[in-house]
Amino acid sequence: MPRLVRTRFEFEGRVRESWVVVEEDPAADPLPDKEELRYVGRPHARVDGVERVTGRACYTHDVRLPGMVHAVVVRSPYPHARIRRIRAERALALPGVLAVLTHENCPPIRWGREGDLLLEPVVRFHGDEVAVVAAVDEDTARDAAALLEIEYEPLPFVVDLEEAMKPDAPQVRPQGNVRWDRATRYSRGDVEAGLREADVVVEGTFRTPAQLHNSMETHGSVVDWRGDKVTIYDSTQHLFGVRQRFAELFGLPVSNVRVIKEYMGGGFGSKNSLAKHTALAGVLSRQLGRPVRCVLDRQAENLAAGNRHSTLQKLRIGARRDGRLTAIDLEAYAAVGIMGSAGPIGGPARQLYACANVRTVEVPVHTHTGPASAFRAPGYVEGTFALESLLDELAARLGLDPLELRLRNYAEVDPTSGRPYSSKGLRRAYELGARAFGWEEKRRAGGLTLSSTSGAGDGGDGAPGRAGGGTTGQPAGRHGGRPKLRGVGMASQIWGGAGGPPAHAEVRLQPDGTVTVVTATQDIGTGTRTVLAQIAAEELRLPIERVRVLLGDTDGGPYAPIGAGSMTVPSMGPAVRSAAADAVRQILELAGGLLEADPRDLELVYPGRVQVKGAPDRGVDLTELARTLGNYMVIGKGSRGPNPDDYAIHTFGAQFAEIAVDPLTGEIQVLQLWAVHDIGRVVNPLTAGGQIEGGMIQGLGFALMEERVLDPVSGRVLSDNLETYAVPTVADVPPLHHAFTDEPDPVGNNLGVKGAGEPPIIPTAAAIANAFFHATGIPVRELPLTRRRVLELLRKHGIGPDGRRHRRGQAASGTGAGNGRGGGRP
Amino acid sequence: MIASHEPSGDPASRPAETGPQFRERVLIDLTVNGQRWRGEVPARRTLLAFLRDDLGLTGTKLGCDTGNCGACSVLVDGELVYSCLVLAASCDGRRVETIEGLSRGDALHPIQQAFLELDAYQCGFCTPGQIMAIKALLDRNPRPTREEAVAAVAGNLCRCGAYPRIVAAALRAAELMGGDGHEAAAAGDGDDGGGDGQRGRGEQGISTGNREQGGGEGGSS
Repeated sequence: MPRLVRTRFEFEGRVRESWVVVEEDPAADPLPDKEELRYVGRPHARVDGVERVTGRACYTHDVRLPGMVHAVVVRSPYPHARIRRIRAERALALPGVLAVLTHENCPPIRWGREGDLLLEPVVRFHGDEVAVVAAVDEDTARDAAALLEIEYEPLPFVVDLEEAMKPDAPQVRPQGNVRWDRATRYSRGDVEAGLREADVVVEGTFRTPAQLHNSMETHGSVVDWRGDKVTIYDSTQHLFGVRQRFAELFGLPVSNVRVIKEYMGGGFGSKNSLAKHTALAGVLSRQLGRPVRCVLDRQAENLAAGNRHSTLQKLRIGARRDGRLTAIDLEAYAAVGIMGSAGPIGGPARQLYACANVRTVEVPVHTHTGPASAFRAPGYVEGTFALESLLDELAARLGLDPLELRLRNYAEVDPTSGRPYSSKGLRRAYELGARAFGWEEKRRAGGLTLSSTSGAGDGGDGAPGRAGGGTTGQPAGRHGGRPKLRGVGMASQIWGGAGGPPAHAEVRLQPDGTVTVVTATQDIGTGTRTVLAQIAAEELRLPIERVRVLLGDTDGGPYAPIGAGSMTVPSMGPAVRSAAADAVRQILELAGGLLEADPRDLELVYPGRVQVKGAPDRGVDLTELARTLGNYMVIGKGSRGPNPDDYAIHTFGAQFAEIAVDPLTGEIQVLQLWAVHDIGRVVNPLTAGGQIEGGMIQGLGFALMEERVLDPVSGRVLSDNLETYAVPTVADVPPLHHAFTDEPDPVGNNLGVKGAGEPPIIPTAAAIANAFFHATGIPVRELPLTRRRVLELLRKHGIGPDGRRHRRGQAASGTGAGNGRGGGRP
Repeated sequence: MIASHEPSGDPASRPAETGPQFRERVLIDLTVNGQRWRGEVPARRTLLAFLRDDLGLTGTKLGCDTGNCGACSVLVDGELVYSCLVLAASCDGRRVETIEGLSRGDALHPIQQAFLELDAYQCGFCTPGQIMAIKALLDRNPRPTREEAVAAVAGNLCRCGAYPRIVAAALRAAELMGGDGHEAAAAGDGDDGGGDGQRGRGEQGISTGNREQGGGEGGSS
C-alpha cells in the first residue's frame, strides 16, 4: 500500500523536506555477494550502443515533423539597452516567413522568479532574446532575422562581478546587484572564537571563472501544439520539470503536456529546466497551429543557455599548531547574471572537515550577463578549489604533508548534523590514491627541483607528443631539455548523490518472455538505460538481451526525477530493482498455479526459469510461462524508498595531480591524474569509469583553460564559440587513472548505490592548483591557469624563464608564497 | 505579427536579389554512401544541411556550424571534411561517406564495434564525427600509432570527455581490421541474443579493450 511520508531530500548541496509517496519495497533483501552477481558490478557495453555508433540514435536536433516550422531567436548585441523600435515589415515580406514575435505582440507570459516577461522591451545581456522569427525553413528564418530593423538605446551596464558589487555600479535589477535578500547563510560554533584560538590563520581571496557548458548538442526543442494538447521534444535533463513548468506558463493541465527525449547530446546542468526558447516555440506553435522547431546555435548556447557562475571567495582558515582546524570562514559572491541563484559554494567548507566553527555566506550578484545555471557540481567545484587550495597553504605553514593535514581533520560524522555517515570511503580513497599515485615519493621528489620534464610537448596545442595517449615518463623529445617546475597536489571531494524519492518504475513481463522496464527517466548520456537494464536482468535472473528499457517520455512511464544532482542511478536503480522484485513475486505466484506448487517453495533462477527449490527438474521457463499467460501482462511496480533519517549520505573522493610548469611559456602540462571515488556500489564499472574520466577532463578544463571572457568596454562576451572558448581536446588530456572504493552503501537504498556524475569534476582543479603551488611555491588564487596568468604569477614572484627564483617575489601574499615551497619541508 | 501571405514554395527559388550572374540553385550529381543523388540544391546550402535536411541523414551532427567541433565530419572522396564548411554545390561528382554508410545491415564496422566495446562515448553526439575521423585515418594508415590516432581525432571535440577511450577505440579498431577485418568484427557483434554465450563474448571484448587502454595509456583501473 502506498504511504505518504515526509522525508529529507538533498539536491546539489541543499536540503529540503517534502512529502513523498512510498510503497513497501519488495526488494528488501540486500543483493547477494558480488561474486554471485551476473550483471550488477560487471562492465557491460551500452544496450543502446548500436544506435549511438550508427547514427540512428534520434536526438532532439534530429526530430523532423510534418509541417514543421523553424524559429530563430534574434538576440541583443548590447549588454543593456532599451528597444526603441522593431520594424518587421521587410522580414515579414520575405516569402516563407510566417511570424515575428517581439515584446510588442508576445503574450504576457511571466518568466522566472523575478517576474520578468518572456520578451521584454529592455534587454539586459549580450544575447538576450529580442524577437523570434518563424519560417518554413531555417535559412529563410535566418534571412528574415537579418531583415529585422531594431533600434536600441544602449544603457549603462556592468558585466564584471566585482564591478557590479560597487555601490555606484549600474543596477541590473531594482533590488540592487548584491542580493543579500537571497543570500544563503550558515553558521555553527563561534568562528571569531575559533580564529582567536588558532595558532595559524591563513586567508585568501579566490576567483573562479564563468564556465560555459558547451554541450555538443545545443539546447533545442520542437513544440507541437494541437488543440489543447502539446507535445514537446526537448533536449532536457528533466522531462517532468519541463512538463510542469510549460503547463503552468500556458495554463494547461499537466496531463495535456507530453515531453519526449530519447537521446541527448549532453547537458551538464544547463538543461535542468524549461528553457525560454521552448516557451517561445510554444507561443508560436499555438499561434501557427504547426510544430515549431527552435534550436540554439553555438553562439546563443554560450550567451544565453546558462553558465557556471564566476565567484569571488574570501576564505579564512584557522588551525592549531598540530593542524586541527579551529575555524573556517567563507564569504562567497557569485555572478549569476540577470537571474539565478548562488550555488552551494560553501558546501565543502561546511561538510568536508571536522571543524567546530564554520561560517559561510553565499551571495548572488547580478551582472548584465546571461542567466547562470547549474553546471556539474555547482558551487562545489568553485568552493573546493578555494578550500583545498588554502588548506595546502596551511599545510605549508605548519610543515605538514597536505594529506596528513586532511587526515587530522577527517570528519567521522557529518559535521553539519552530527549524524553518522551511511558509508564513507574517503580515508580509503586517500590511501588507495596515495599509494597508486606514489604520493610520498613524488611529493619529496617534486617541489622546486628543476628538471628536464619528461613528456613535455613543444607548447603547441594539439601536438601529438603531448596527447591523451602519452605514457608518463616518456619524453616527447623535441624540447626535452628545457627546465620545468614539477609538482604534485591532491584534493578531496564531498558531494551528495544519495538520490531519493519520488522515483518510480514498472517492469513488464511481455507475452514473449522478454521484459520491459518502463519509466519516464532520462538517459542524459551517462548510460542510465544500460544500468537499469543490468539491475532488472539481475533481479529477474534473465539474460540482459531479454530486457528492454523504455524511457524518455512523460506519457510513456511513471514519474522519474531530474537527471541531475548525481541522483539518477541512486533514485531510479532502486525503483527498478523494486519493480523487478514485484514482478518476480507475481511470476512466482502465477508459476505456482502452473507447477501446482506453493509459490513460497519456488525460486527464479538464471536464465529466466522458475523452479521448485531443491527440485530443479520441476520448473518452467519464463518464456513458456509468459506464453501460458496468454496476453496477460505481469506488471511489477516499484518505488524508491525514503532515505534513512538517521544518516548523512554522501559521495567522497580524492584526486591527485602531477604537473610540470614551463617557466618560459607558462604552459602547465598535466602529467597524470589519479582519482579514487566512493560512489557506493558500482553497477557498471565501464560506464562509471567514463563518468570519472569525463569529470576529470572537465575539471582540467576548468583549471587550465575554460573561461568566459567579457569585454568590459562593450559588455559583450568575446568567447561565445568553440574557437575562442577553449574546451579540452584529445590533445590536452593526460593519462587518467581511476579506481573505486566500490563498497555498497549499507543503508541508503536497496542497491547500496550512490551517484557518480558530479563527484569527479569537484577536486580536479584544486588538485592541479595544489600541484602548481608545490611546483612553484606560488599559491593559486584565480583560475584558469592560462599561460598568461601563469607567466604573470611566475614573474610577479620572481621566477624567471629559466625557472630560477631571481629575487624575492614582490607579491608574496604572506600566507605561503615563497615559504610554502616543497610543502612539509619549510 | 503573423505574415499575411502564403509561403510560395521553396524560398530559395525566389528571384535573386544579388543579380542574374549568380545562380541561386545548382544542379549536382553525387553519390552518398554508394547511392547516386542528382538534383538541385540551393547554392549556399552546406553539405551538412544537405545531408541532414535534404537526405534525412541525421546521423551527421551539427555542433557549431563554424568548423570548430568536428561533429559534422564526413568523408568526401575519402578526405575527412567538416561538412558544415563544405558547400553541397562543391560536391558535384564526388563520393560522400557518412556514418550511415558504415554498417552493413546489422554488421557493424570494426570502428563502431570498438566504440561499443570500449564505451568510447557518453552522450554519443560527437560519436559519428569521431568515427568518421578514425575511418579517414585507418583507410590510409591501418596500423596507426597512438600519436597518430590522437592527431586524427584532435579536431573532434567531445564535451563528455571520452577522449582516452576514443583513442583506444581507434587502436582497437585497427587491431580488429588487421585480422579477419570487417567480418571478424561483425561476427563478434552477435546481437542474435545467444544468451550466456553471447554475453561471454561481449565481456571478453570489453576486458580486452580495457587492457588495451590500461596498458597503453594507463586508462581505467
